[in-house]
Amino acid sequence: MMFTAHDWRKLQLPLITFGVTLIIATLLYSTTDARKTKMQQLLQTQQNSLNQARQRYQTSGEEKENIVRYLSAYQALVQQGFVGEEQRVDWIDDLRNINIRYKLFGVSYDIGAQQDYKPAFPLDIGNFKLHRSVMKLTFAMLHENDLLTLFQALPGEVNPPFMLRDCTITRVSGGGRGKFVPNLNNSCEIDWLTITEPPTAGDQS
Amino acid sequence: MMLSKIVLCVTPKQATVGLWRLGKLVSCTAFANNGSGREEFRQFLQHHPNVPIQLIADAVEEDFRPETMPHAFGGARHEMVERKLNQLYRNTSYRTAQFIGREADKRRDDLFLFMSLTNPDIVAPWVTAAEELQAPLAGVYLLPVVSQLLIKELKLKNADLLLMSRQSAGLRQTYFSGQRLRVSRLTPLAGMDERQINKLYVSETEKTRLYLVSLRMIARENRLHLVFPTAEYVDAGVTQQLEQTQGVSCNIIGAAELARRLGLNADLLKRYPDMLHMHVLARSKPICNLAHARQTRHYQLHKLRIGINIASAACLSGAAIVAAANLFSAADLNQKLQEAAAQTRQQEKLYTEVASNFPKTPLPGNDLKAAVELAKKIGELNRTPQRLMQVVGETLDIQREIQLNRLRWMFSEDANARDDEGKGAAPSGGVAIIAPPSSSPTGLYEIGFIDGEISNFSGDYRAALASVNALAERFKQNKAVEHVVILQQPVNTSSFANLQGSTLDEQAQQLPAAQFKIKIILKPGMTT
Repeated sequence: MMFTAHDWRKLQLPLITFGVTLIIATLLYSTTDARKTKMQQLLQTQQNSLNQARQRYQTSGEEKENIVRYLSAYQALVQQGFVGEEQRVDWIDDLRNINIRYKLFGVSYDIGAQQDYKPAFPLDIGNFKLHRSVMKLTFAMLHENDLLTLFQALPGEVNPPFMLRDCTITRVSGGGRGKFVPNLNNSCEIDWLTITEPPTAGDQS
Repeated sequence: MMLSKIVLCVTPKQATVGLWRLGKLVSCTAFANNGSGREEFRQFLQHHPNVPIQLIADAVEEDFRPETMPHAFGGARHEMVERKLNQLYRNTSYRTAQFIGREADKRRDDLFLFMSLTNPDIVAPWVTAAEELQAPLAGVYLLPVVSQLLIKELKLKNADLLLMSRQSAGLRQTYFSGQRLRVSRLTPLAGMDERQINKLYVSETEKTRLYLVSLRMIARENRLHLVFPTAEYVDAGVTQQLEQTQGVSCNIIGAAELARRLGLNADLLKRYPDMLHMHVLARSKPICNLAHARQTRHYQLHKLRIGINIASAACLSGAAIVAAANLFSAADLNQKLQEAAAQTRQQEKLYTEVASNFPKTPLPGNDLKAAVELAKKIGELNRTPQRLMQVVGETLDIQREIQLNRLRWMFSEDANARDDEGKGAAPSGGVAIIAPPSSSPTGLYEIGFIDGEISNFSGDYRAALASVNALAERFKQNKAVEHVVILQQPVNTSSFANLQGSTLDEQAQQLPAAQFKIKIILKPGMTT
């Protein structure tokens, strides 16, 4: 059946009605479906919150035990500079003291800028953020035991957790056999690790 | 107007018009078949626009012709039928064919009943009136075809059935074989009184029977079953005469019975004799439309409009149902959300009550624990080169011909770490690949690179190689060592590298140094 212009005019109103109906139907469906989806998401979020709240209440005994058990240790870590800002001045002072105490030939240091750190080896950092500053120490030694002396002194003098990652001892060419002439050069790389508190922390009373 | 229908029965003298709504007769009227009658019909149509019209033609000028054609289907059958219609009814456009069945013979040809309204002028003015008003004319049907619907409605299942009815155009007798229309006759009753008409019932029945026998539609000995649905009073004598007619059995269905079976008003049936067929057509799906496609164009458009409107309504209804379901579901979810929120508040309140007795802390207990354990873990990973120095020192004490030039210690995640600064990073001297050591529980490896040379080297490469190999072997035997690989030999004896020197080397004052490089991976150990 071929349609004439007159036929199209007769079909115009039903077709427009159909088009408008389609638009209304689409709007009806999309708006109500969006509302339903939003409510589903809100409910899911709320149920997660409820589960967390339940879990938190159920484990409140354990929570109290953890606070009692770890609070002082944590405060000590804050004091030592593992939690929060790096205490670089303290570190330099400590290094200087070690150098004087153990009569070393002097230690050069180069501390890089602090960066966020995701270790490649397994390390559970919980809700904290881990940071690392790469530190290079260069110093001359009379004997290789000077190296061990320095690093054995470090945990005593300097409390923040460090990880010694790399050391290279090189024989000084033409090194003399004199008592106070360095025979070896040493270059070490140390990771200075610190953490910052999770952003949601502080809601405890 | 979607569920309304107009049925028009046109005879040479008049046209009866009825309006049905939802299968119920709403109104009925008759117009004379002349100019004024058609003008009244126009006014009627103007009062009922967009109502489909079905037209019944009841006139003597009709033709029924059974024909056989070779069996075909689809387009071929349609083409053959069209050709036959053109051949049989050249002068009228009101024509059609009904497929009756297949012949019983071997060829099993198709059997058709061709039919036409041979005088189109009877209905043409009425069709034109409808076309001019753009009224949706659904079809034009011959009255005997509608009779076919009537016998189905009345559930008449006799094999040889003669349906006799008194119409406004005259006495109609239609023969059905196996409920299929075969032939029909119309005898005008103009100018006859009731006595003459009563006689005519009998005589016409006899004539029709003889006619059917002559056409070999029925055998002479076969009994013809006459059914006479009529709203008129039929004299008992006539009934008796009809039943006494040779080879005929008679069944008269009276006005009350018709009204009961078809849901019609008996008085209306008496007033409008064509109402019986009109009512059946209004309630049934019609067959054998005689009208040309161009005449039913407005009806096709009407159907299309209704189809679009139905689609719109369905679309909107569907969306409304889905939307309602969504809203219901959203309300239900909201209810659950409120409940969950209340429960959460309750749990938080309980926790706050319990937590009020906790010591003052900047962080939750779990975070405190995590921080302390993290510090402890990092502390446990504290290593120094002490173990490597012990291993190297113990070994070099035995092999005093070896001079240590450089010692590098690494605490790395990568067991295949390379000493970028030292020479001969690539393995040589027959060691091709560094085998990976067993995995470390901490994920970190203590790796040592030892750079040295043979003291007071005299140019005896064989002895130098033996000395370095012995050194590597001693490292391997050390319990703290996991893996040893010689990265550089004093001399590279590989067939894949150049080897230069002089046989006078041993006498030379300045000999090249016999340097070597060894990589060691220590077993995972405790903090030193």
